Amino acid sequence: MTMGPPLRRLALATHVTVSGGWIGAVIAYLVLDVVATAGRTPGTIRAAYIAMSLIASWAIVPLALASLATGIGMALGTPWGLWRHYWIVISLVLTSIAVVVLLLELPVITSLAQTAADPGTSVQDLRSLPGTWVHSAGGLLILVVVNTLNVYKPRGLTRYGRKRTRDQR
Amino acid sequence: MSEEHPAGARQTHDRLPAGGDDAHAPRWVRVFGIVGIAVAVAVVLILFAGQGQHGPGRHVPASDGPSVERPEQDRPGHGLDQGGPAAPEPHSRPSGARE
Repeated sequence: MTMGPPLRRLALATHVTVSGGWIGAVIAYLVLDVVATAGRTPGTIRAAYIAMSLIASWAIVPLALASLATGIGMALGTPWGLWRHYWIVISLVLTSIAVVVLLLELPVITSLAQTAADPGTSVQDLRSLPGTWVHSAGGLLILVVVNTLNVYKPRGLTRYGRKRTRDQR
Repeated sequence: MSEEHPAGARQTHDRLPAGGDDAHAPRWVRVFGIVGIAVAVAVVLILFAGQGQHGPGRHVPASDGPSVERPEQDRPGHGLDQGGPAAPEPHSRPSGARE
């Protein structure tokens, strides 16, 4: 099913909004992650871990799922297709990896926030809590790559795409 | 994703190339594949080098205290929070206390 122009523009606006929001939320999370890892003041460390959990749960995860869903919808609802172009396939794979790693990391982030928020956690234990910046920095790198692919749309049809193109001629 | 589509008048770069390079994946795809495989191998090696210490459970503190993954001496000498000097730890002796 191909979307008409009005619906396609609405879907595109939604996809761009949630995808850009996802990148922005990850950047904000990464800043907090670095502060939580390198910070010295207990109150700041506690606040950073708690804010990381809130951002991950209420901004990053919803935006990530929305970005993946709207991206698939855009591909399936336009002549681009989901499997015809290499850049779309690679974007889909990278986005899916980012979403899976994010969902696997979410319980860890929640646990860290609960530990940090616990008044019984000593300052020494608080400072020994690990950060998650390797995952968040890696995720941000993936999102930048996907965003670049989506803007440049480098040429290249997959084997399936070439077959479909031949069949349509 | 794009507001244009392959059949659109302004999107000509998605048409099949006139030459014979449509039989193989473009160079950028091969580069992507090589980099992707290299990253995947590196991740697997890191996982094996860590002897299974990677994963969600690695970050979760143990029941009798948090995991000591980040030694105190590895922490930077200054905080990023710019909140002034670090608060004294509960068990530390006040600086003005007598011996």
